[in-house]
Amino acid sequence: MTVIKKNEVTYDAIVIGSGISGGYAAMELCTKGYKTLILERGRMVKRGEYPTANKDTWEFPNQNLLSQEEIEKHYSKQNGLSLWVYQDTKHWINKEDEYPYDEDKPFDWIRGYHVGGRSLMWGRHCYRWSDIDFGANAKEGIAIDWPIRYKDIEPWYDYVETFVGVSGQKEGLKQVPNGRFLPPFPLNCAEQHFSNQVATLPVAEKTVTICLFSVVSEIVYDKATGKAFGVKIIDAETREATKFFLRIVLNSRSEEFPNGLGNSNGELGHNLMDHHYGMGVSASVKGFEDAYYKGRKPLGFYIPRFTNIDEKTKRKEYFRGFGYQGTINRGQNHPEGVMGEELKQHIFKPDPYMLYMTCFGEILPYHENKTFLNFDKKDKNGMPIITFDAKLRENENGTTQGCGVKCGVEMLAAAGCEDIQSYNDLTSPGACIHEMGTARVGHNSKASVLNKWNQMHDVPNVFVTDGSFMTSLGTKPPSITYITLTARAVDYVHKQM
Amino acid sequence: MPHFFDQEGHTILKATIDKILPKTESPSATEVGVYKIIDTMVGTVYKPS
Repeated sequence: MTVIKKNEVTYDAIVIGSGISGGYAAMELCTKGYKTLILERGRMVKRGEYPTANKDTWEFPNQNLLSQEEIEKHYSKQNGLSLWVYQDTKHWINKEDEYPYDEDKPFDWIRGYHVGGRSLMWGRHCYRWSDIDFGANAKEGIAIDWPIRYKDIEPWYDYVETFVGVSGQKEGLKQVPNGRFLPPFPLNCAEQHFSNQVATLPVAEKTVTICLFSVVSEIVYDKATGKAFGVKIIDAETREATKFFLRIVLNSRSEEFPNGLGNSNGELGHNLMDHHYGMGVSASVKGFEDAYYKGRKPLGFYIPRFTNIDEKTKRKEYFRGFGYQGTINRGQNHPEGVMGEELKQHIFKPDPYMLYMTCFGEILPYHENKTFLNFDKKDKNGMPIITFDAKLRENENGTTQGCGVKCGVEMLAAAGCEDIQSYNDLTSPGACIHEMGTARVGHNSKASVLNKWNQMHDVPNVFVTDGSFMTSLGTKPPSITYITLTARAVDYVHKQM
Repeated sequence: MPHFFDQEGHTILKATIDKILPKTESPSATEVGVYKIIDTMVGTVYKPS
């Protein structure tokens, strides 16, 4: 991998952003022999350079907590759930005072600017979308229809899962098509370690060029050819502007052009979605007291969506549904109201097994939920400030929400769990770090930004393959679907050349 | 260096934590330095309010 200083050079392809989609795009382009440039606005992170990954809680100051003062100064929005920002993660999360954004309605935008992006932080659950997901918009008359169905991308799921290494058990569910699985982790369905540093960038390494601290300010459009012919960047360290020239752009930052490139129908920036993250259940699980576990499993269990998948499970109160991710483990045993020698006797024995599961609810694609650039306000690089204006609406607030908790409680009670607790909080969009939409794929240029190959209707040599292409949200963690459509888009580009 | 509790505060703190976790055949809370963690947490993590 060549790390270059900025120069005016021509490339076959330019990938904007080195996150999970950008890394995969660069690998595919390099493998097919294209001279590829990655523009990354943040710093370099090399494979293995993860300063805190192998440390235990007690190796950090203050039991891994940040001071309240530090959180207020740098992370107050992103730590809205008190869940993400700790001593062992803060170097992957932007300081808000350095990278500001605005909210017309509360939005927890959790992200870091560095090579690999959030592929260093993701939850690693990988489940295929099914036609229950792809067909939902058309069936229910919501937003616009997806221009693809499962059969269009099934071979591409096979292709990327084989590279990534996804472990799991073939359950044969119609809402979760079977994947190309490695053997499952004992008891649970889980996914092996995958980040851009470990996987895609080493494959691209021999031929890819990466340019750091490069904030893309503009994709330069050529009126004569109707194509993009370059990318303008601003150096985040020197504030100097440079141009790169190209033949194809794989754009992973489409929301940077809300009134500009690719936005002739005004759809860019609209239909912003994220999973509703405010519901969960916990309980104690009896039995297995004489057994223990060792090591750290990468993941716990997953319960896929089970409502509105067919006539039998149809709910009249709401559209779509929710899935759950959870873990069962034994914690510290310190019962309330006990002191002295008796407390010590408890402490030396492990706690009963505790189950925790979080609900991931589907938020519908609403045109009114949007993000846009405020050109009247600029950041330190002179870039317009991004503003979020999105909220949970009727389908999420009224019905889906309560049902996610109620179903969870019923399941745990039926499974014989005790001490069942639940929570049902209204969280802001963004909090689940699954923000999607804003440059959706569709059948035609009237209501979508991209065609079924992730290619911009307006500018045919610009492709968008990050989560912004999503036309609806689904309930599953999205990364595997992003990289599947990325690999498919690169193959399409290759066949057009 | 204490971050929050003064000398008298530390005396009360140590007496309190040893009531909760006294010395038995295993060490007491004070012997393993729990008071240092509490002093640092209160003094550097939390705000005065």
